[in-house]
Amino acid sequence: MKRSDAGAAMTTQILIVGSGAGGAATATALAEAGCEVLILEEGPNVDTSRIASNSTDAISLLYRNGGMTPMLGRQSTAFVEGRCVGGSTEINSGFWHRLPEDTYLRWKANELLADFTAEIMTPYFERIEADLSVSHMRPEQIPRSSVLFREGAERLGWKYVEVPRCQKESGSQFAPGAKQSMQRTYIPRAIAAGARLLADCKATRIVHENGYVRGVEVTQNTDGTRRRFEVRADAVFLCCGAIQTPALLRRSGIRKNVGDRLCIHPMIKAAALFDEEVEAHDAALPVYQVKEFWPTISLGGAVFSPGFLAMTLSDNWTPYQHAMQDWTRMALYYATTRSMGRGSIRAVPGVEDGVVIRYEPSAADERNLTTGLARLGELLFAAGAKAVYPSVAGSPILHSADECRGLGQQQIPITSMSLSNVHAFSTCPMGENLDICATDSYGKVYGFRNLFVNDASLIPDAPGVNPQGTTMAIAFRNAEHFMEAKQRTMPRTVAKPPGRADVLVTGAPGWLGTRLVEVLVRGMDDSSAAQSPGSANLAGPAERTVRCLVRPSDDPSSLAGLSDNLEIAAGDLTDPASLREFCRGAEGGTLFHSAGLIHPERFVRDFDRVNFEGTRNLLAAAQEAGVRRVVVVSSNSPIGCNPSPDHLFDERSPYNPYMGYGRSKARAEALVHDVQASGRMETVIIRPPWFYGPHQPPRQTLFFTMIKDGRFPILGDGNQKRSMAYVDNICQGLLLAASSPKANGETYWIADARPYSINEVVATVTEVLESFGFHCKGSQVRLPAIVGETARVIDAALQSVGLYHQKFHVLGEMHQSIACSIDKARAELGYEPNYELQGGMRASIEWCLANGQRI
Amino acid sequence: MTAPRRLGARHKATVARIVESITPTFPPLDSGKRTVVFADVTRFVASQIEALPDFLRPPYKMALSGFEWLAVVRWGRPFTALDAARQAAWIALWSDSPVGAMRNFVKLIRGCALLAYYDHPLLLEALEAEAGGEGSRESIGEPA
Repeated sequence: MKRSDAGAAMTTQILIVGSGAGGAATATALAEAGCEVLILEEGPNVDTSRIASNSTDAISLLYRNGGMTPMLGRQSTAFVEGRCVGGSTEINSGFWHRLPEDTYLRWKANELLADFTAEIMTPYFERIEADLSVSHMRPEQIPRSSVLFREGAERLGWKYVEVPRCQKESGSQFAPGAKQSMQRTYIPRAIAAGARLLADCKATRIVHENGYVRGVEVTQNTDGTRRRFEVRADAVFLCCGAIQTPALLRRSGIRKNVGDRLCIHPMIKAAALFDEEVEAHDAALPVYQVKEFWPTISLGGAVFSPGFLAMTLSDNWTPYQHAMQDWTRMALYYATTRSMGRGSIRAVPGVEDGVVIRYEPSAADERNLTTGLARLGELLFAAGAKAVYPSVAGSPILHSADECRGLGQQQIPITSMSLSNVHAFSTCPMGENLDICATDSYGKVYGFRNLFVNDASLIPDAPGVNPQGTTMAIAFRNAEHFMEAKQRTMPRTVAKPPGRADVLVTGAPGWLGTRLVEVLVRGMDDSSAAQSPGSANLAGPAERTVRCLVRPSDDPSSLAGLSDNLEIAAGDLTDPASLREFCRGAEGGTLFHSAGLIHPERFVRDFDRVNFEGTRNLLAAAQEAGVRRVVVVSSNSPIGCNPSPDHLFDERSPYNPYMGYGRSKARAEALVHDVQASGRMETVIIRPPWFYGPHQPPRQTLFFTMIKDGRFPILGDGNQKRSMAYVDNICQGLLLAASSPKANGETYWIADARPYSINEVVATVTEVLESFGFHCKGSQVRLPAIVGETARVIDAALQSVGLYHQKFHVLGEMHQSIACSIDKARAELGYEPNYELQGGMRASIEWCLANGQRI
Repeated sequence: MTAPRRLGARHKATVARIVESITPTFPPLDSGKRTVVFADVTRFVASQIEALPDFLRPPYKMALSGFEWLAVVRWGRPFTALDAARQAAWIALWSDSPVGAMRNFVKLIRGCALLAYYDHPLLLEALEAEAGGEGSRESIGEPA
């Protein structure tokens, strides 16, 4: 490379990495649905209609690693895939298979694959078959080597099929432009629909945070110049094939069930010598496959050239090479099996192109390939072959069907076989079985909101047939599902310029924020607060226009469909310009500020960036817009921990911030006091402690799981106290704070009616879980309080150097009491919590179960 | 990080000698064509080694060096300085070795060389000519 430049970031709505069968189909579906699509292809954009796909030029130019990609194992398997615009569809034979019927049932049973039946998928196959001109060869075009193969099968009474191909003119096997590869079909269609294509661009890393993908880092190699840049996208589809997709995911730190279950179709070849001239090198591609032993074994004809013949003979070159003199009477065939061994994909750390593919053939593979080779030999002799040359090191030339049957009785060592493979699957299997699947049933990567896989990686196991049809059908299905979900879950985005807004909310679609929005637009089921006379300025739920600030990285689907009067404003607390847009038109309205950062990914400085600076930005924008009152959700952390279990904080308790989070919240409270003092806006501070209830994040579900499994750590005697706040109780307090004249300039603790001991919390959750039929372990992990104190010291030490570690932080708090009195809220606001621990936990667990969370 | 892709001159010379030793004499070519074919085949084989995945290329280059210089232990000279018979014997020693890595080393070069050789346009011409000529198809005799 001559030089390396860092380029500016590009942006797009949909980024598709890879332009093969999966990528081209995805691009077509999404571009034609109106999305802005950018396709990245690592390889060059070469007009493949001008290159014979089996030539050495093609091998150098179009094949990954020049066709020299090994799958390592007890016996290495040569793996071939395309690396050019169009991917492997540019170098393969264009064979077409629909997915066999039994596969649907197997995948449903093993991977719990949802909405995937022959009835659902058949229309996709039919549509693609029309697009790709899938057709059978005319009888006069069928090559002599295939006719002989068919006659052999007929003489033995073995079942065979004629395999159709994606081909317009079924003339010579390498007729320019005949094969309907992606370069000739879906890529031009996607481009015609507005998609952009960038070739020579390798995606090197996925940029992600908290389950949201911001984009992809890219290295572009053109004319000896290397340029690095980032492509930012709302959604990213990985379609780089079953090897490169898991490698990219793993290189980006996404490893759960990724690259662990490589399945292939290992293949062994044999050359056959006939009495007659078969002219295999001039012929169209072989068309028949013997399915008598399917799904375990398939037999068929292979692409032929004198060079390929020589390669097949090369394992025993000295005794076999004389066969080259009879090359016009020779043809190549194969036996293949569905892999029973297991393989893996691993990215080599620090090596940009480093991908280690391992496939360890099983004893069943060894047996099936031996049997397959023997059956193939039998068939070829039935077809009139005079000799068969298996690509097995040390094998003699076979001269009769009996010798082949004898071969089948032996066990050919796998280490003697020359194995090759062109099909790979199952490296990011799709389905609902969380133990083995990397994506859901539609290719969305688990743990991510906007990252998808849409290529052969999704195929749950080796289907026993060429997978390009299945890959495309799945890609279209998943892309359409993505569009449907996008339309269904995207709430109305605020128009520019925004209209009037009665209520502004930050922190949705978070835990408390989502519930608050629900209460604001629908009212609270069993609380009068939302409709209380005091809340008249918020109008009735049906009439309120509620506008939510949603970060671009957040999934707003939980807000979808709540109300026609609900608006989404894209923005971020750290982006003042977006906050000005968010607040525009809210003159005289109410702002609920519930957004905050509780557990940063790594650095303590993020607390201040979001909780302090973000609040400052928001308050400035709200004042500028003329917002009447802001209700700020603070925390117990600015006040710290109680000196004893019997002590309760009240609103006069002095500040004693607990670690970085507490300091950032205390500084935010100081900002609120400054605004109040300025008289430009009414303010109320609400301090809820540990809250619980519907819309809870995974960390709270983990709390249930740990109690169920008896893994929840109880530090000390477990009698330390915790005030907890059910989300509906907090919502009641927030609405009262927004509407009560007395609340202006005040601070309130809002929690359940009384604090609970940790022992009581654990016992209550256990009881509720058991009432739902969960089997809970009776006891939990009991640890001395010193463990919590040690964790607190480590947490403090880490935070003193700017680092945050969630587990130390949480464990360090566990032996402390954090309890408060709600007397002031009761007296001044009329706050009366409607939920206590048992009812609240029941509602939480019900929500978890109803929303597919696993406890 | 990327391992150097290009083969050095010494490695290329080793590859060229291996290619020359393992490519067959069928079909017959005049010396001019043979020179062109060998050059192209050697270039293809070298490019294939250069195209190996990053983590395999350095060990393969080491193996090329080992193949070249271990011949000194056996014959007192590096592989490229041996006569044709000894070169063939050295290749056979590696391709029949009980050590899989040694067999695979030769297998890769042999497979690529034979593919490039028999799919070379000049070879295809010669093959076509042979196929159309008289006496090129004797009985299917196994080699002695």
